[in-house]
Parts: sequence; C-alpha cells; structure tokens
Amino acid sequence: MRKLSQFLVILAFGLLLIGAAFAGGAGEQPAGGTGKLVLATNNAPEGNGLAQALRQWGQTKGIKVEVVAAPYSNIYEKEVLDLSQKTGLYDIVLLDDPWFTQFAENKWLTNLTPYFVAINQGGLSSDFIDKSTAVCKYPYATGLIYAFPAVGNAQMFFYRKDILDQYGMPNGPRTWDDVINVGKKVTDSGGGTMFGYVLRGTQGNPVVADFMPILWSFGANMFNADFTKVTLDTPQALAAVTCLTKLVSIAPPGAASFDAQQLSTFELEGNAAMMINWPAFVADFQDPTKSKVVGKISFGPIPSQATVGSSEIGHWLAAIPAASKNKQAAFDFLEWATSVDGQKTGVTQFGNPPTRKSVFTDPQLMATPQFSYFPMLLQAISNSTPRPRIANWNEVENTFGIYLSKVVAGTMTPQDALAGAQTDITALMKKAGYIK
Amino acid sequence: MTPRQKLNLPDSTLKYLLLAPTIILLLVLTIYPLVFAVAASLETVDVRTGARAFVGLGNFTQIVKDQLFWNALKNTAIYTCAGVIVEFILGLALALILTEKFLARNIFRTIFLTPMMLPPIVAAIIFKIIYIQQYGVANWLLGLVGIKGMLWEAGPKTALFSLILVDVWEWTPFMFLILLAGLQAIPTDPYEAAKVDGATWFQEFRHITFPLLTPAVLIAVLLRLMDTLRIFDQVFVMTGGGPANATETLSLYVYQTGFRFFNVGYATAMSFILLILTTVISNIFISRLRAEEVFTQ
Repeated sequence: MRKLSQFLVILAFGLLLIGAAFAGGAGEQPAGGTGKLVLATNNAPEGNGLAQALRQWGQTKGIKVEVVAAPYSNIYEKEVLDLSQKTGLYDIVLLDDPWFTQFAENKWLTNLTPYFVAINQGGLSSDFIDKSTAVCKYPYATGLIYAFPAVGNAQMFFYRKDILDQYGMPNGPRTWDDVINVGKKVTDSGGGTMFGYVLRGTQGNPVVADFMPILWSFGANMFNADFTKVTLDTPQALAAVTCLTKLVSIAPPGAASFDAQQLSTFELEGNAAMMINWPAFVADFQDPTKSKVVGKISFGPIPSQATVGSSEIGHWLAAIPAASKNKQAAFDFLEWATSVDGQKTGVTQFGNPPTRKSVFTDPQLMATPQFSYFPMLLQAISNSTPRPRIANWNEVENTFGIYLSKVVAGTMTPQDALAGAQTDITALMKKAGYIK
Repeated sequence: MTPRQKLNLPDSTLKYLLLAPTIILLLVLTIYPLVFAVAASLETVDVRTGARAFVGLGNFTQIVKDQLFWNALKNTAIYTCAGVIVEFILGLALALILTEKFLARNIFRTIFLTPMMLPPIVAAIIFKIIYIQQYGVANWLLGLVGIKGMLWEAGPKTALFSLILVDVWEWTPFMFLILLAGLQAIPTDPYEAAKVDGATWFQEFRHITFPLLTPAVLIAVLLRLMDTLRIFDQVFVMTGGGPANATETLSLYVYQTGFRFFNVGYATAMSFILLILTTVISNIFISRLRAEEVFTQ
C-alpha cells in the first residue's frame, strides 16, 4: 500500500506541475490589456520593418513584445488559423492586401474607426494615398477602416533605358504593341542570351500577378463591378491572353517556372530589357555588387492598350485581430509606426516604400539616388487597381493561374484557357455565394 | 514479496492499469483526431462567413467529378511508380557492387549515403538552381557533351520527370542501405554449395541472393512507397504544382485546398482517400512480409 500512496503523491505533484504550466501560459495575456504585444509578420524586408519598429516601441514604452515571423508562403495560413479560431494569440497581423476581404468579411479584424474617433480623427490621415486608404476599408474604398496601410507596394514597369533609347523610346514603351515590337527585335538580335521581355509564369500567384495589368490594359476585367458575373469570355480578355502568348514568344525559355526573383536576376545580369515587377527589387539595381546594369534601368507606368495602363496594387496592411486583448496598445503602436517619422525609418532602414504622400515627396529622401523611383511609384500607386476584392480570391487566383500557366507552357490555346477559366471561376463564385 | 503482491491487485486489473497510459495516449493522439476528421470530411466551410454545413457524402461525390483531383492522383501514381522502381534498381545495383570487398569500399558507402542526410527542402532548392535553363549546372553539363539544354522543371513534359530525378538522387541511398544490410545478412554456405555445383553468377543471384533478400526488398519498397505517395516538399518548393498542373500531387492539392482556400471539409475528404490508398497498398506488402515471416501475427 505504501508504494501506491507514493505513486499517488507523485501523480498529484505531476498534475500540479502541469496545471501550473498551463496557468502560466494563460497568465501572459491578462484580459486587462497590459500584456505583451504579439506581431505576426512575414519574414521579409516588408515584415522586418514593422518588427523592428515594434521592438523599438516596446523599449521606449516598457512593453513586452514578441514577433512571430514566417515566410510568405506560410504566414497566410498561420494568420487564418489564429483569426478563425479567435485565439487572440496575435495583437497585430501584417497581411497582404488580397487577403483583406476574407479577413474583414469574416469579422476577424477590429473596426478601427472608434479608435480614430477617440483621438479626434475621422479615420486614416488624408496624407495617405487615396488608393492606399481604399484597400484598408471594407467594403473597398467606402466602408469602415480595418487596417493601416503599412508598406506601399505597387507593380512598376522596369525597362533598360539604354536599349529602348536605341529604338526611339527613351521614355519606355507606351503600349503593349510597343513592348512586343521592340521586345521582338531585342530577342531576335540577342543571340539567345538577351531577351526583350521576361515574365513570371509560375503557376499560382506569380503568373496571375504578372498578367492582371495586361488584362486591365486591354480593357478587360475578371468580373463585373459587383462580382455577379465572370467576364473572361470577352474579346478584350482574349486579346490580353493573346498578348501574353506573344510576350512568351519573346521571353527566355522556361518562363513557365519564373517568379519575381528570377525576373530580377535576368534584369540584373543584363539579359532582359523589360519586365513588370515589385519595387522591392529596385534597390538591387543600384548596387554594383549585384547589378551589371547600374544606372541603366528606368521605371515607367504599365503600358496602355485599349485603356490607360494600371498597376496592380500589393500593399502590406497592418490590422488588429478582433480577438486581440491589447487592442488599444496595438492601435497606439500602429498609429506611431505608420506616422511620417515611422515610415521614414522604414524607408531608410529597410527600403520599404511608404504609403504617405508627404514621405514620397520628402525633399531629403528625393535627393537620395536610392529613392529616385519614388515619384514613379507614387504615380503607380495613385493609378493602381486592386485584385478583385472577394473573400475567395486565393482559390480564384489558383484556378486562373492554372489556366494561365497552361497558356505560358504552350499546352492550351488562349480561347480554351479563357473558356475553362470562365466556367471554373463561375463555379467558384457560385459556391461562395457571389453568383446566385 | 514482489511489488505486485504488495499492491494486492488482481491480475486482470493490473493488466488494464498498465495498458492505460498507452490507451489514453492513443485515444488522445490518434482516435480523437480521426473521429474529428471523419466529421470534418462530411462538412463544408463557407469561406466568407466561416459557417460549417453538413453535406453528408457530398465532398466525396464532388471528388469523383473533380478533374484536378484525378490529375493529382495520376501525377502521384507516376511519381511513386517511376521513383520507387528506379530507386530500387539503382539501390540494388549499388548494394551488389558495394557488398564485394574492394579498396576504399567504406569510403564509397559513406559517400553514397550523403544525399539522404539532406533535408528534402534543401535538396529541392539545390536542384532548382541546378535546373535553371540559362545558368544551371545541368544544362551546362549537357552542353559539354553537345546536347541542347532542356527546360527541366519549367517544361510541362519534363517537369514531373525532373522532380522524380530529385527523389531518385535523394532516396536511392535509402534503398541501397537497406538492401546492403539484407545482403550482408545472407549466410555464405548456400553460395559455397552453389559454387561446388558450378552455378553461374546469374544463377546464384536468381536462386540464392534474390529469394533471401526478399524481406529486405519488401521493407525498403514499402517504406519508399508510403513516403512517395505523400510527396510534398519538392513539389511545393520547385514548381508549386506547375507548369500547367503537370506536377500537382495529391498532398499538394490537399494542402492548397485546406490551407490556402480553407475548404477544410473537402481537403479532409481527399486526405481520407489518400489514407485509404496508402493503407491498401501498404497492406499488400505487409501481408507478403507476413508470408515471409518477417512479421508475425
């Protein structure tokens, strides 16, 4: 019997220990709102900027902070798992703007308007670019504010000024016809090492991100205004996909597996004349240790065709989960981090593009060669188009990406790809309840 | 007095008491998630509201009609069959060579095992760089012998083959290791008897080596089959399922459906099909292993 009682005593101690461990875990986030601030962010310059700001904020304010960083391919699922289960684990999430509709529609994010009212502001400062503010609202541009625009990304058209000068286009191509004409000449005379155009063909996000501006330039769109109809069965959409096939014909072989990084490498090595890409790659072009084309790259607006070209916006937004227990502290931090000074730090230390007009036009920054592309980017964001603001965008993008990938790989005609995409995306929109 | 006599517990009670921790662990870690998964596979989740709705076998009937699913199943089948067969043949050849005594045999054995020690993600990234059309080592090597470079993982016709090649490179050593152990365990007497009878090398292999190696072959192939059926890392890193869906495997499709589109019910239903498939195939091998008396009932 003595052994049994010993066993019971040990068991009781064990349970006590386990209980204490759990109590400790829960005790880290008291409901009062003075616990530590936890940020979920992507493990890249855009995310590192906000993480650095949070650490600095924690030090000056004497608040405990924690950064949970994950690569781009994983941060979405981490955030959705936390938000959908309402765990309250994160107090701030940095999210890519195409995810925003799903997050806001599911009521996973905190409505920030009351917090702005409390500091005598109607909402986000008018210093933020209108298009940057628009992606932080649900519904788009008109609704309540659920996020701060943290990093001002929008695609730009990169081109080799020295090469386009030779073809009489010192200001870059104006239309997609120009791109194809000049691009063909460059590729034809390039001897298999120099190409007129280089594009992202990797299935999924890359190929769709590369193609959307082309679709818009041709006057086409994926949906009608209220998402009740898929509009990929139009002659304009067909013209856009046909343009894509022409671009593939002047691009390096293997474009079907290129992503943004590989495009940048082609351009850095001086092997490509034109591409669409994100501003994050601009800094590399001015770095002689990475770039063989220092001073030769210019940035222009997305070429036009049937309509004026429009850049795809790809902002990083910072939001507060609805289940966070430190909402006020999180709001105070984000207000500071996206202030003029906060954004200037992000620009100078991490090269992250701002979202405030006054930072874009800051004389000190404009005088720095590294940020000479700011006027162009400001123009690109001001004239940008968001990806369709639908909650099931990831699935729609994936489906469209499969068809575009087939076109890029040459296994499907533009007609068949669009017909397939029209049918499949309509089915997805019906499933999500957008199309009755 | 033994401890059991001290506790004064009847045999039957003690039996269950001792089994209890294992049973509880099994219930918590395996049975509960499995039951939960069965329930989830019968539901759909609304991406816009998060609302769950019971659909019965709706997910399964939809899978039957889902072309993407069948494409993923086909790719997985090709990947598994081609990969395991090539790995087996190469692994067996290597094992047969390296079981012979020759100079520096141990050094070769160690060298051949190194690919297996790399994390699959690292192997995938290395090969993605090797495969780059313009700058990659693969096309440069082909160029040296006058062959025009190919598209590798960027071509819809060559992509799956390129991924299988990575698998073969990384996992042939595993086959080799198990088969080598199997070869070393074969006693020498039958060979001596065969030599006396004047058997050729092939006859020895056909009638002595291979039959006695069968248990090792079955185990090696079984483990590789189970592994390749759920292949994910390489595809995720190297192609994302493209180009033109040529490399989308079942695991990748399940992952995307579950974690990118948050269609959790549908993803769970597909996982069950993958589970059943793996179990059926594995059981064929396990019953053979029982026949070989490697496992006992």
